[in-house]
Amino acid sequence: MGRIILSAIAAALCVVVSHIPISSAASPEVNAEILATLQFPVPESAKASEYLGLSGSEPFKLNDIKGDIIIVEIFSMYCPYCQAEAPNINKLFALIEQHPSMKTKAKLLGVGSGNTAYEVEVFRKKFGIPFPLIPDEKFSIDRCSERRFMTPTFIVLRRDQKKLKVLKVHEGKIERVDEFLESIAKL
Amino acid sequence: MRPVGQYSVARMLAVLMVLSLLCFPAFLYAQQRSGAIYDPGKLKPVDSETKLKVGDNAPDFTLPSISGDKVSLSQYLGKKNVLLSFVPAAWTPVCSQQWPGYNIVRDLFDKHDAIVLGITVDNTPTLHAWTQEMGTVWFPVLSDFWPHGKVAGLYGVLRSDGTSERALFLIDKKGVIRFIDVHDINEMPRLEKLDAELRKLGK
Repeated sequence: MGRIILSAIAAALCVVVSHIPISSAASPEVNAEILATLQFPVPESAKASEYLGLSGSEPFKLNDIKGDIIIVEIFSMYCPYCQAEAPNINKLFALIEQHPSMKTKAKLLGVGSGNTAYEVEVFRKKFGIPFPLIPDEKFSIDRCSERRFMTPTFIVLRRDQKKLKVLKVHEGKIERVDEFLESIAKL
Repeated sequence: MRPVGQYSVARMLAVLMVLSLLCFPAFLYAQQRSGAIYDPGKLKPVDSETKLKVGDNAPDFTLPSISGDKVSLSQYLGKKNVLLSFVPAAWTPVCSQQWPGYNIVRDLFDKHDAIVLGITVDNTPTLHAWTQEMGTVWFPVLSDFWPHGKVAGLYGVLRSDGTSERALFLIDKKGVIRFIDVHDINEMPRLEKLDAELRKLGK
């Protein structure tokens, strides 16, 4: 009898353990200091530069963006998950722009990991992306992480006494963009 | 009392098993999204030598596609320009992204009256499962599994480990090879380069 109960407990444990989803494995640590040193090309459109509060044509750092909250989406034109997620992130952008407290302070930026300017433009046109996308052909964004970012990954940064601090790193698709935005607004 | 107790334990186990099965598809999905891609590490950039050159007639072949029919290169003669896209193997990092890239630029290929034929040395079920992960793929995906890598060999892009190179052959409507790119296997061939080569074909 005892053996049967033990097997039942073991079976129950197996069931529980086997259903811990792998996708909830820890997102990679992001080194904010390294991230702050990375330089990115200014977006090609004047509208995109204006949205980010950038002037001139010199490469920019994330700290140059005029916004207290910066949401960076690391994506690739070639990534099927990013393609599938694109309409959802367009919705996130629309929600930010309507949000009473976030619309003035939050900025959304897409970094095309391993993509050329041409490839980023293909992605923008295909999915009608309304927020700035910039190419990162040499995967420079990966330098701030212990491992290569999977796509899509979202890094949420907040300006804190002129420095950017990492609030949140989310790897994989965002199921509910409204809840995602509210969770940032509360942080 | 003992048999009853055993019965309820057995029933509990049965319930657990059923619950387990019910949850399994969701678990599998999560795993595929994050962990199904096999990382082979950095590979020798090119491990074969093609004898084909621009201006040669493209060797004809017939291969099974994942949709169940057979596809021959010669069926496009006089009808479509063809991009043969060999990728090393299913479920590997760059390949898992190269075709999804082509998948969203159908308009680019349409504009130049071109079709993509995706080829790997994997068997059809593997290719089916893998391309399902990409969403619906609009172009034929062909299996060069048996005789193993025969077409890759014909094009001189079979590597010594039985995979193929990451190679592009652009073939015009007359069946003439107009562009060859046996690419560094670890890197993505750039889409703008392909766009430029498609433009050179003329209508």
